[in-house]
Amino acid sequence: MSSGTTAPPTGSPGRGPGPSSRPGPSPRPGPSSGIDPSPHRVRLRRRGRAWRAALVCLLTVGYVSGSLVGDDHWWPLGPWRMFSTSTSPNAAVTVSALQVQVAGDPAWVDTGLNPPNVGLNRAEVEGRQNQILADPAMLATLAEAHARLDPDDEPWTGVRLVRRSTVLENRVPTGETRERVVAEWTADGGGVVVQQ
Amino acid sequence: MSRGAAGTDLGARAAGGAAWVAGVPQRLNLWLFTEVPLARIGLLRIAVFAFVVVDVLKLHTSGHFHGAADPVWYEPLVVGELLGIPAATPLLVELLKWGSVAFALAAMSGRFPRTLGWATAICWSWYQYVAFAYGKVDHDRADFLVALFLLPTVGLAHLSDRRRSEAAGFALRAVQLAAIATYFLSAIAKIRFGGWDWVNSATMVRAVVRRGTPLSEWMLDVPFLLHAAQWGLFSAELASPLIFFLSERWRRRMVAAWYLFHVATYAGITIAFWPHLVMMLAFLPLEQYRDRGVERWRRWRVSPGASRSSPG
Repeated sequence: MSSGTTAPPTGSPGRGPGPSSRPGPSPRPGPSSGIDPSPHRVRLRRRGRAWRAALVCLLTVGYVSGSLVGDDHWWPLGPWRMFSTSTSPNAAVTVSALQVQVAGDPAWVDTGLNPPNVGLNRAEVEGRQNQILADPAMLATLAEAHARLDPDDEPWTGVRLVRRSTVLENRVPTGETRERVVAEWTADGGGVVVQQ
Repeated sequence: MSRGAAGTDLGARAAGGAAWVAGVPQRLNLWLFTEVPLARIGLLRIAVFAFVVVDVLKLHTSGHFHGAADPVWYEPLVVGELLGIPAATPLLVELLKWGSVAFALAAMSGRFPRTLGWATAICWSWYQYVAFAYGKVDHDRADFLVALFLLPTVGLAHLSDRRRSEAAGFALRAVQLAAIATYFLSAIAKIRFGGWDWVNSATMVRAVVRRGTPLSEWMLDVPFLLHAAQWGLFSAELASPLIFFLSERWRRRMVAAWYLFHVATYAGITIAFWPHLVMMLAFLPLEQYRDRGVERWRRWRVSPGASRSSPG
């Protein structure tokens, strides 16, 4: 694909070494106005300018409409919504966490809700909460992904999703935290929704 | 002033105004294709491709782990539905990861700029797609695609090529526009999703509670600081397009201010919009900085510690 440039077959006026540092003959001016006789300039042909200008218009329309009516599924044209939601100064800030069980030990232990541990990150799991509530056995796939990523670790026989909240009062954390289990999967009992 | 003279004056003004309006497309054309030295593109490309290598290997690895995730978590984006992109597999993510690295390293040589540049662009953007098609999209990576796909359109750009090129100027302008659009459109997103009250919400408190560091957690005890920071950030984002109307000196100051903001964000909540930081380099005369650095280094080599200039 041509970029539509008209590169004169000449050198640069630069001081550095390299093939382009030798002075060369001036190019002949072409029939169109797109060619500049100066050896120091590389100009675009009319067609090269036209598609570039059209592309800028197209990208502008794409990005602006993505921001005004699009959502994350429009990537790479979706809205730039990092930290765009409002949080009430007196609400609770909630974080999801993962707990797991291994064979022969009834205790639930915290584990990382991150890609190296389960193939997914916290926000990805948080975003699927409704799907998890509809099908809590889906949590079993996290145990399978963990086994693929860390085959030497003891296999998980239970996985549960927990939500921990930090209470804010007038923008300041009160020190009060709440925790509740959302959904649970065990190898024996399958998936269950613990509380809605 | 007589009525006739006033009429002539008004007529002249109207004609001047019409001429100004008629000249807008021409000025826009000049602005969009402002010539810049090809060496600047050569240097920016090295930064962009070096970033791709570091990004794929170290910074943004969730795409790789999605190869291990069950396809039940795959949630195709619109572009994936249009192109029929399937869920990731361990083999696919390895190909995309190492393809990005190999093509980017080769592209840093400056040879075959279009082929290698676009090959890197395709591998990296597909790898990002894999990262984002599992329920979470990072909102700092879309603008980098503009740099990856448009920088190759300049063609060969030797690091010592001082010829000024319109194609180079266009590519830089497009990267600058995309980088500033990120700020401006994120202010628009705040209005859309958070409402005008976003500035008075506790969004930054929430960010510090969730991902704070010892450098930022003390701010939870001084809540007006984070509240004021929200007003400052929102205003700066809305005003960001003004950078295109500033003098060169103030433009560089504004770029420096944005870099400081990103350093503070990283110190406070360990979030950095890495690709965007590379994009902002498009505002800077990189070849001049390089020349100055080389000059200083030579002087230092000739007589360390002395400030006299050397003939080289």
